[in-house]
Amino acid sequence: MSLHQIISQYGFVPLLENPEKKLAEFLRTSLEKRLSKTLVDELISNYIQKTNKSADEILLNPELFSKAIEELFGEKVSKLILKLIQEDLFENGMSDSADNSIKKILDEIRKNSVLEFIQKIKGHEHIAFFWANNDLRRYLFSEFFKNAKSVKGFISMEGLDDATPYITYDELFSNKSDSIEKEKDLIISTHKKNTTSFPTLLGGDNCDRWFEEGLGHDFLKLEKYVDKFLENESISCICGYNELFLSNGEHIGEILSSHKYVILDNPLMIYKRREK
Amino acid sequence: MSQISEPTQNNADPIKFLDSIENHKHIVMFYEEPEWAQTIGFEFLKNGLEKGEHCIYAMMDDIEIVKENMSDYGIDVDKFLNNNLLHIYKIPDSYDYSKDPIEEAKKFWKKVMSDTIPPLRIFSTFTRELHQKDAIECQTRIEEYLDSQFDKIQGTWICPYNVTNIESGNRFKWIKKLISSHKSVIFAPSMEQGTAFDL
Repeated sequence: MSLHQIISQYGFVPLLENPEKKLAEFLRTSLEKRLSKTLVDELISNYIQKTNKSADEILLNPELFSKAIEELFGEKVSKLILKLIQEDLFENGMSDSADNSIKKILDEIRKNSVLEFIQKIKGHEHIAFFWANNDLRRYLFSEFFKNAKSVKGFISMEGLDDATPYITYDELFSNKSDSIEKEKDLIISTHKKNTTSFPTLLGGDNCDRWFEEGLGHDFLKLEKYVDKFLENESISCICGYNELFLSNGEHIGEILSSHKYVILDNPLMIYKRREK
Repeated sequence: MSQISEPTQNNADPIKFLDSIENHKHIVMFYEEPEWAQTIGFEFLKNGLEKGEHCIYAMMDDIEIVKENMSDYGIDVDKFLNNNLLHIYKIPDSYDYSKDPIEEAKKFWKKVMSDTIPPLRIFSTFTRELHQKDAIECQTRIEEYLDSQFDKIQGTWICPYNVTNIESGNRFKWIKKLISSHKSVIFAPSMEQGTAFDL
């Protein structure tokens, strides 16, 4: 099971920004024009019942979307319909080639949505970022910090650039008995320096180190504290975890319970905890 | 079975698709707006009439209204009726579904076909009461039979179905069945819209 599937089981749903909503609407209209509104309505409501997902979630899940069409029309016809929709997307300027699959178009839109979300961050967001490779880790934290209009604090394996001060995990764990307090102090003291109306930006790119150092239990408590703290403070915080660390599934539930947003790789997507 | 048409905008358009037909085909057409379905049907028949082909329009519509609509579309109805190229029939309004549908259809079509010379162009379905389980069931049986015998019909036959009329609880089931008993599909939801391709 992929991390995308796992986190949806924990109640996280894709954060649909306007470009994604526009794509979902376009896909529906294109299908209606090609087939029939009656058929499309029925096709989607049938899949809502089957999967318990919303219409937009079905339309924006290329695998489900093509499966739904394939079940009705068979593989050959389904392929043709999807190809025609790709042509519609290209003709309407939503793709730069008629050969681009809906998945490719969607991945691009989602990547841009993630970048836009973290670049125009508003404050009070506690985000878990499960990264699969170091290039993506560096890229995402660089994009997060590069347009900072206020103070920033970063705990990192190796840092990013001169404009982003950081402390290393080795420094943080030099005296394990006060590591938790040290991180708490870092959060509070950094935020105190913020005299702007823009959010304080905080990040840690390798939070699984806490578990490696045997401080996982205390760190999960700190994560919960930070999540609560951010509700009232204008801080945006990204907690990076190596996907490999999550592979045994041991801590994922606790990590997710203390974050409202999750960014995943393959494809790069942002999720939000479903409102109760 | 033929290959899927190359999916381009050109031949995916229902009218252009019909214009490009060379071999005899059994085509199912799903529509929502009857006016658009009729336009496609008229265009299909008009092209045939102009080529000197025998064309049959057999639906449940009133014959006089069909003639009027055909004239409005630009078909010289009187001329083509007089030279026996155009054949307009009215399918009976009600049908006894306890009778063998295939035998009934055979009887009707034997009479219709007796006055024609191939290649033919046919625009027809046997029933409009598709919301009734019995009716759509009979219709799918007729279509399966027709498709199995299609080599004997030298012509192209469009079978139009209003999607909104098909029994709603089992709509997908019937559509799948109808698709499987034809060689090409036209989706013609509303004016100037749709997709068409070989299966």
